[in-house]
Amino acid sequence: MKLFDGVKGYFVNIYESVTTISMGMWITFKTAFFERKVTLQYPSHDILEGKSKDASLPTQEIPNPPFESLLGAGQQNYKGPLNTQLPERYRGLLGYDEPSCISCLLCAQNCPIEVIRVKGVKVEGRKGKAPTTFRIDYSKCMFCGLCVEVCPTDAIFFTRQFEGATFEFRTLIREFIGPELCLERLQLAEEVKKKAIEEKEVKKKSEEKESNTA
Amino acid sequence: MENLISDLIREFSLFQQIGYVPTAAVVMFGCALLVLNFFGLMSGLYTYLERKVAGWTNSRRGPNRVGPYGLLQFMADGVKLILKEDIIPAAADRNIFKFAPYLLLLGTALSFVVIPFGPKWIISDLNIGVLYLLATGSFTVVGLILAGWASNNKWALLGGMRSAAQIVSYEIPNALAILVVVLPAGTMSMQGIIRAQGGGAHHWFLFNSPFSFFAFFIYFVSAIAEINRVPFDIPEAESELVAGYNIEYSAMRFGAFFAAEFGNIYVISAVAVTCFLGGWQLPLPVAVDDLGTLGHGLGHFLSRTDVLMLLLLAALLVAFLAWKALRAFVWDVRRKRPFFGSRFVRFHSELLVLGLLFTGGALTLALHLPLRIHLPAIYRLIFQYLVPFVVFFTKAMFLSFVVLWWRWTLPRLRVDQLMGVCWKYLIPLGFFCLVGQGFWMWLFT
Repeated sequence: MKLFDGVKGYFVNIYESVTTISMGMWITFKTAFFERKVTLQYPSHDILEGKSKDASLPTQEIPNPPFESLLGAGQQNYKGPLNTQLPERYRGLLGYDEPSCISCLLCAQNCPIEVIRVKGVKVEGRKGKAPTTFRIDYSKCMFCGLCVEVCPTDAIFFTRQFEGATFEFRTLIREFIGPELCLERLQLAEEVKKKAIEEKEVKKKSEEKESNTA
Repeated sequence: MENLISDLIREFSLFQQIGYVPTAAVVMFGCALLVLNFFGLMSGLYTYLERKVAGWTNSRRGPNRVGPYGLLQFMADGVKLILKEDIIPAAADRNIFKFAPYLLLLGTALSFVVIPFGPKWIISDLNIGVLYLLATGSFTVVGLILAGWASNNKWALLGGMRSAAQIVSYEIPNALAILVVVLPAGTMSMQGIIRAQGGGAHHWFLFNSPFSFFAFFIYFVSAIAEINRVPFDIPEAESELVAGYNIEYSAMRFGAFFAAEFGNIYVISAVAVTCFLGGWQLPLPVAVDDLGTLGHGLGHFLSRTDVLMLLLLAALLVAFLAWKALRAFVWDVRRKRPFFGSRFVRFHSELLVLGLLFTGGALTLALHLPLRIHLPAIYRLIFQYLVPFVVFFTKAMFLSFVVLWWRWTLPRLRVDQLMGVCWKYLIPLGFFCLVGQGFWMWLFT
């Protein structure tokens, strides 16, 4: 009886290996030829817009063809199951809105790796301080979002841009305020300072006069 | 090759003057150039195909950026591998380390000597062709062991040892399965085996007897194991041995291992096609040797009206397919689609192939009517060289596709399972098939 079981097991093994292998082969065959491709062909697919860059035509005519573009040439609108667009709150490269910045330095102070460098001066007709330097070193940034969270005026924020590759390091350091604007601001600030000094002197003189008269 | 040499000497006075040996040298060099280029191109195409099949089975697209359909990807990879730094470990046995990949390549390249491309296309139709193939197949194990030993790395050594155990074991069922075919063929020459099968799928050795049917699967499984493909790739099992025997190799030496591996896929497919699937014989009941000569084959037992009806049917089918393809083509042109990736190519190429097949079938039938048509020589050339090559290549590519398909379907076997499959299952079944085939022939012939 034991011998019989062994012999039976031998043939059961053969049978099972044949059937399971053919089942597996059928599964991969189905996947290979009858399922939608999930590949998002990134450089020719605009992830920000969620549509193909060079597909000039809508391809709604054929709902689910077998052997659908097996070789994968020719860019079409994406039909697979993936989300083709980047999420709205995607943490891309940092963006900066100059007019709303008040140079409070909160972002620079909160940054754990000193990515951001801010300098500001007081000028007339602007709330807070006007920035004269705003520099972000993208090569260091780790997209933690601390600066974005603390910014009281939403001047620093995440964009959805992520294509930051360059050939040189220095191109990754970005100045958001040009030298001309910086100079202008500094001159304005000088004027503000002069005015302040003049006012002080005027005050002093008037105080002196008052004391003298007193 | 011998025929070519004698033909050249007979036809051209230049070769007559330089004598037999230099002519033979020229012919050998030319043949080697052709076959080695074919080998290189095939292994390159297999790397592309492998990645394509991998993509398809994973619902991806695979390489499609370099060249049309990504077909030139293998060239980019090759250039990259050649430009990379070739590192030899300080403690390695330098000479053996450098030599091992070429030994592996040599084994594969030697196999191409006896692989037929058509009834008249073969480098050398050795009368011990199959035996020769088994011998060149064993080069692999020497190369792998040398690579593993010379690397001076424990993983590489383990991979080499495993490959030795595996290949030596699997050569037995391999040889047994081929012997099952040699019995009815009565010869070991590759062309002889193909000629013994005749045209028509029912004449192929796959359907010669139930034993040869099983022998085909035994051969295929053991051949895959012998060239170290998944699911039998324990010599380079990355989950256990990092990369196995080729762990210390880099640059083109590493590429040489893979060229040999992928070239071997074509070799085993070609041998399987030769021995079991009728080689360059058509699936139609027409012997390729008769093609281009008139008054043979089906014409003897099909009446003229039968053939006319068949031709009419084929013509109707072709007309229908052509109509559909034409509509797709117009659709493409109106929308200014590029040719590759157009609807015409994507959805109607297979229909066109079907149509061509049917026309081809009808044509072969018509050619074998005792009709006394005189064919120009060019048709004879096409029938004797091009058609058999295309037939052989298609069959071989189908089997290679199955090899790649298995790689992306089946998980790797453990070492003991691997040995179990060989010694407990394949070898006894192989002997059973061999003896059974003998009895079958004794009973039915």
